[in-house]
Amino acid sequence: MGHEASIFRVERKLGLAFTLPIFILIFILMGFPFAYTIYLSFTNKTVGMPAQFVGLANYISIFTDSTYWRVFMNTVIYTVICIVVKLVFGMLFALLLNESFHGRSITRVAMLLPWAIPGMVAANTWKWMYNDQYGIINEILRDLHIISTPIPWLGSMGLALFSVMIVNIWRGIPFFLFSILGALQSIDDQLYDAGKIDGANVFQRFFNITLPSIMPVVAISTLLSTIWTFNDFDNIWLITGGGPLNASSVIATYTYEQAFMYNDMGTGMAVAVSIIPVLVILMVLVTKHRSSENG
Amino acid sequence: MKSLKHIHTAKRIFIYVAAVLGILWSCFPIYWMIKSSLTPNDEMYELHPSLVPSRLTLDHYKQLFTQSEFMTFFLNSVYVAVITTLIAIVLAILASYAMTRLRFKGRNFIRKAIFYAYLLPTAVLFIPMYQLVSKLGLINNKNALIIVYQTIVIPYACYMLISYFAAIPKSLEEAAFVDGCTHLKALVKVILPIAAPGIAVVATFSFTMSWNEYLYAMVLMTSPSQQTVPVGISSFRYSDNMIWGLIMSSSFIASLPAVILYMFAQRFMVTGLAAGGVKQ
Amino acid sequence: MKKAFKVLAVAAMLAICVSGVFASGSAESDKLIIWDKSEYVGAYNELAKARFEEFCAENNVEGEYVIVPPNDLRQRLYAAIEGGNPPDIVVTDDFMAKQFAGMGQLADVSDIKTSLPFIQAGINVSYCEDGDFIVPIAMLAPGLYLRTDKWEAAGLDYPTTWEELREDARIVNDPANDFYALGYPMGTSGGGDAEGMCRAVILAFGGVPVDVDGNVTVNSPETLEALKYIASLYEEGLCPPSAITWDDMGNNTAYLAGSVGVIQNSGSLYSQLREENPELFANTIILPFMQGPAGSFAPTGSNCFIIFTNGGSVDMAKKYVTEFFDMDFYKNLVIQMGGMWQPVIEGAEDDPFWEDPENAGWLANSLGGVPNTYPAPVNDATNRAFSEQVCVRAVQKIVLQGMDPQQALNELEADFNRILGK
Repeated sequence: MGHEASIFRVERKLGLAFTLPIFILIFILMGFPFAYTIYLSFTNKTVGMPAQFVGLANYISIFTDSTYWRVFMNTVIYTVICIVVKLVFGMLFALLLNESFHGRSITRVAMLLPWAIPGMVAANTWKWMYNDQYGIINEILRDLHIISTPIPWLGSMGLALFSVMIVNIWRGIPFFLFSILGALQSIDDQLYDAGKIDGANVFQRFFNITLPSIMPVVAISTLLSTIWTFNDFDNIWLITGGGPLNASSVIATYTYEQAFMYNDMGTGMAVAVSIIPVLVILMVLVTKHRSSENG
Repeated sequence: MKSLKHIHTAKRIFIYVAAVLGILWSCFPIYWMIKSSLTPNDEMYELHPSLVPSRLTLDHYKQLFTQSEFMTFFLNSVYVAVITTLIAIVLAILASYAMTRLRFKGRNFIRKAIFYAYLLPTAVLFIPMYQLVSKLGLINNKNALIIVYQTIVIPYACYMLISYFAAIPKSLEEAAFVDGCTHLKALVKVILPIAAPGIAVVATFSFTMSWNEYLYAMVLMTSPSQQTVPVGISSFRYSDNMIWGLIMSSSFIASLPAVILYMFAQRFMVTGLAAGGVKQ
Repeated sequence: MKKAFKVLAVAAMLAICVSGVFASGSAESDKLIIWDKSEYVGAYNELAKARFEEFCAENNVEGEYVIVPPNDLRQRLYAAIEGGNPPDIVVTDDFMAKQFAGMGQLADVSDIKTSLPFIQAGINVSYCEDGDFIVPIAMLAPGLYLRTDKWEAAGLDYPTTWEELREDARIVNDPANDFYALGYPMGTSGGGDAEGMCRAVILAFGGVPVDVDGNVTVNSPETLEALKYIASLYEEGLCPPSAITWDDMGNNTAYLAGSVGVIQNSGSLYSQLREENPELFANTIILPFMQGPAGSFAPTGSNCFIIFTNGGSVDMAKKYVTEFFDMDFYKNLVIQMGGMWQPVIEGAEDDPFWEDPENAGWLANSLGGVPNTYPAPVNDATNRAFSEQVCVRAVQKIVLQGMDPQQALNELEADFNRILGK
């Protein structure tokens, strides 16, 4: 009994000592910017002028604005589709690159590259490739006689959001791929051997052994990537600027437009803060599931 | 036996086809980037772009290293990204171990709460962050980036490491405790070797996150002596024209460290597995 | 166990101390800081830097010359203003400068404006209702770039009116071979090229978005015709399909790629052409803006100085700005920009350089321009209407959503009223 208590005391002290540094770094450092942003969302702040408290006025004005809801829907569509595609392909390629075959190392490095180049460059390179006249994508499609007239990837209401999604997916697959690969490599081979002896086929082994082992990583990668995709700014801003006519606007670009292009920080911050509840609910759902798993 | 072999060959073919498709998909834009960095200016824009340039030039690279301050940016980035990653990984390993293995008050609170660092995009946080860093007197001091980047890297590193650690059976550690190991020793001797592949991935990604961060670096650092690579690349844009040759050549160089780091980290992945196996 | 604690305590302390130990930033209030615009013509930044350093040495002040790419300026300046330490002097374009005029951050520069012989175009372009805060450095006249080879091949004379331009465009247009006659960007994401083009056409057709007294007068048959005209350029496929989302860079790259026959741009592309593509340069002519029933209007910008009162060295900053216009230095600086900049000081155009026909063309264009928000008073509201690109949105609605032009115009009027009513 006394032994148990002393272990618990040690764990308590160690636990605090181990988590204190990140607590200090994250909470102290983010505390002010976070609180200040929320405060500004209740004011009529513009750059260079003092802020005046306006209550819920900013929120009322954005929630009654049809553009906001359109942008919100764009964000949801953008996030859901990108995440599903990134997760599926990330998982498939992780399983692939966990097999041993000639050229595996080079394939791994090649598939890491999209994540390794700066976002600004990726966005501009794709924008160039998407160009309807001198872009390589249309050129190749025409050479292959798949299309006869160039496709306006970024200029049509229906395609703009789709086109920026492709870029997000391209940049995001390596994140899922390598996170899951890291988890796959930590799985004990003996589990598979045992499975083989029991006569489990490939799919049974995947669903009974692989998936449960990598599930925590999959859940967290999905959560993190969802947040990042939700707040994705560079990609869309640099490729379409949210256009045409807000067809590819998402919350992050809309925030920026309001706060900095039109110098209406109060409204801009309200747009950014308005999606926090969505993200928190998402996080609670994922971590709740996770905690119950660990017991 | 024959059908098994048949399945095996089919599987091989499938793997190679998928790998080739994966490489094409990932590398085509990269190829375009490298191609542009080697294309002379007068061929940069063509109505009918060709996959292979008719002439190659190293002029852009020459200009990059002789006429711009790219080397300064590069060294600054190496400094910032390496130290940021080291600090973040050490702190995140300790914290993640605590949050998966130790019972203490506030554990769940901290675990949930570190997440809040991600709720607002940097596109709105940069102004208050500037005010904070300014109060600390660290504007235009690249060390400020090391501190600020912790808010970007640590939540990611913690969450990923928590999930990697959680997948490791507790029985392995308990054996070590019986042998008289302390928690720290158990962490170093048992958990780290098994989780090495995961840690290698987290380190690589942490590095690229701090390497590629643009907005904070651009706002917080004002002189070239303190600026990082993404800010340097962005300076090859003027109001309405882009110097593609310089942008693409600098981007190519900028993507190398992450690749090298990953190739280096891959060794850990193999030893990680082996070490884990030996421990069994 | 104690050992573990010690290690951890050290780790924790390290993390906390990181911030303290690294604190070595110095308070730099008496330093003279200038944020200059990065220019494609490298000679500019070299000359300006040398000039600034020379000034600091002469006056025995510590100075810092910082080059800021135009795309990064807004974020950096906003952060610096909110952090309470903006630079002393900022070089930017007048449109951006005017957005800072209403913030109560800028120093009054009327003394500089009266002590130097600025030309009227320079005075006009730097005027704003909130006060005299902007010192023009140089005019950035827009020109109409036209492919002479294409026009000659079709046996056409160069157009002078918007109507002629459209008629010529229908002949020159060759989408099957990826050549479009016109390259007007119509996206809302970057710069002011698109909105400037819309305003130019509306004014030329006799429409007046907002009149001199600040009344919204956009809803007129003339504006309707102008909107229909602009929309037709896209609907008839005279511009590339993606032009509807181009930012200010779109027209530059399209022209460099040889995929469009006409664009509107400042002299920046002219410099790039000369440098990077001599063949295309030889096939390019710069024309004045097209005429409409009501005349020709070219929204013309400028580069300018603004001085921040919070920078802490207002007097020294003013002294530098005044001495910047030293005739020998200034004249040479503008000429170094190769026609892309036009002088704002009387007498600075007195050089053989400006007698060269091409340069004379740029010079003439610079004198006849109008401010972006013409003829409305220049203030926060009219500037915001321009930066929200309301006219561009109206055109996009007609082209992309097939909206009835009159309906789009009604909504445009509502947009103006919303912004100016604020």
